[in-house]
Amino acid sequence: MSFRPGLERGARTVAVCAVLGLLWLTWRQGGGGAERAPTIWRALPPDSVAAWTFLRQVATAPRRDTLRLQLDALPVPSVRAGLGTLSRGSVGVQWEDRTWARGLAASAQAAARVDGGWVLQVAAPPGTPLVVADAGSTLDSLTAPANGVMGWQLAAVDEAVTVRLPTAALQWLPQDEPPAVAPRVVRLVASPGWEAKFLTAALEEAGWRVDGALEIAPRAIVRIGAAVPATLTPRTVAAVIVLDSAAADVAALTQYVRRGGGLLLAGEAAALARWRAVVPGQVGAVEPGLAGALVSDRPRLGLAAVALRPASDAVLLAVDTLGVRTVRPLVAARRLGEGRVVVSALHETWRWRMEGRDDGAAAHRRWWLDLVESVSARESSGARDRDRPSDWPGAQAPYADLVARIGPPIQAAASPGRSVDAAAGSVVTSSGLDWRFPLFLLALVALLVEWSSRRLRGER
Amino acid sequence: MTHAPFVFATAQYESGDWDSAPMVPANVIDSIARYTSLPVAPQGVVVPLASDAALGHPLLYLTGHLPVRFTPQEAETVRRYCTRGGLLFIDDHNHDIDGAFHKTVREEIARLVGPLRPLPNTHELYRCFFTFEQGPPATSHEMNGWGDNLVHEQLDAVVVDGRIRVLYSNKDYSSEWSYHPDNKRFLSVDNTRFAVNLVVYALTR
Repeated sequence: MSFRPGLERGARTVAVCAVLGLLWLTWRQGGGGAERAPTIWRALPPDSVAAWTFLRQVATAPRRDTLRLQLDALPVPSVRAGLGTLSRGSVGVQWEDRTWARGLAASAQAAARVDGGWVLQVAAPPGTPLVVADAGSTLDSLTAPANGVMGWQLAAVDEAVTVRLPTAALQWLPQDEPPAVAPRVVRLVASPGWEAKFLTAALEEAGWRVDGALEIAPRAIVRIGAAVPATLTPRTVAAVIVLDSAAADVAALTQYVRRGGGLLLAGEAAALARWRAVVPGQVGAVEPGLAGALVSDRPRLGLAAVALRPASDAVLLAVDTLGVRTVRPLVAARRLGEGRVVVSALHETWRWRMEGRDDGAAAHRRWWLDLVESVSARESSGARDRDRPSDWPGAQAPYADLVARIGPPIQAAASPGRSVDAAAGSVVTSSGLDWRFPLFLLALVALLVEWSSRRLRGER
Repeated sequence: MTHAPFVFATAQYESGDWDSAPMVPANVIDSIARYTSLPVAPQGVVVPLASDAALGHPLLYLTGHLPVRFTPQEAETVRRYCTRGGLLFIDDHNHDIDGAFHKTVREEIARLVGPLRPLPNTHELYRCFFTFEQGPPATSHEMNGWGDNLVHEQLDAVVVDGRIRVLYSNKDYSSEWSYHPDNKRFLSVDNTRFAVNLVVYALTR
């Protein structure tokens, strides 16, 4: 049989070629060859859960490629954080910036103001003349700035707003009047004094309205804020602050808290026997502050405070560390019905503002703002909302946040890499098909054929 | 339990006669005790503007006849005092808009806090306790032959965030209120009632 030697030579040649190819591929993928083309992912999955799943698959894939994203929109904060984590690990992350607005776009939102209104934002090509008008008149005309982004606050809109470019126009019609933001109101129960004065100032500076009636004489009161409504409900008053022994209707305030209101007992009020049933802890004697501490780095230590021992069902919200093992509880809170009661141990906090350092006024304002927000029903739900992705760090400047996490975008260019759509849910394992195993099989089969042919011929 | 009483504080400064109206504190304290239930210290205090002690008294009374030039320490205290929310009540004991006190202290306040502007006579200062429909009550000293012989129709003020930081008067309340409180019985209308409004405003706004 004359064809068998030829078959055997052919099989040996195929096996040798397969082995050589196998060695070349192994050498190339081991890093000794040219740089591998990155995998290009056109877009991240649109929802954050799918995007996170995709990023986790990338991170746990046995083989780590460079991940190159073509982003038409900025990822949500959690995905940006995931990309940042990837880039700090062993996966290179690159991105092409395709987020720039190239045409005319506009958005309108209800303004977060008491008197309502709208916030209109427009993106247009830089340098383009642009006119904004409603049915009544032209509202503004200008040339789009270099970044192409403009914004207006509109107190009212006459029918529809039209944004016109020389080549395009769009119209926006408000569907509903924007809801006015409910005023943030705190009721103050206190005697006239510096503490009440500066507490009111601090909260008003922070945007709260403080209502109260301060008794100057048995038949003379000074009203602050608006007229105090007869009814006290969580819908009308976010929190009630009781500062001292001024007459306070304990039963009415307790009922208000049980219905969802917030009660803040501060200073002398915390020690009054009438509040013992609701105070979230035991209140002892007033302990003086440390001399000179008001102008130190820890000004709170310079303020007098009542000794506070939180109750078993209370949550300690603030403490001062006095030594290695000594702490001074300052703020404790507990639930009461649907509402919350907070006690603050500090006395005469106005000294923090007046006698402290130049940043004392801001710190004093922050202190009272935090206390009110911790106790008011509305703000406590807001505190929970702080975990929303939109409130994450970087949410105000997502582009800068993305650059800070994974670096600036690369120039978009024709790339030799493969193009894959991440939305399809595929997993990054390789930049192409792995030919090494088929080559190995081919070499094995070729050698088997060559060996079988020789044995059938009676050769060894 | 009651909180700390109100303490009437007079500002002491180096350049002039800060103590030219020694009976004013006692008279104001008497009126506070007479008309209100506010806890008030029976005696006033004198606080040097050059010290941080002034910051512990959010209402300060300053008067004099002579030119006022604050030392650097006093100027820093005045700046901090007004920035942080204190109310500095300055009364021109000369009741003279051409006088040295008037010219110099207004310059100092403009330099450290801001320009003084007329305070509307509808301001809550004139209604927070007693009601003064015409604005600041006139004094018997404004046309006594001394000073500028004018009836000053308004007070001036530096207002920040809706609150008075500096209140300036040419009406010479320092002369009007500087008498022994016992002598109020000889007056048909107590001329220190405006001082009560001043203290009430300071304590509540």
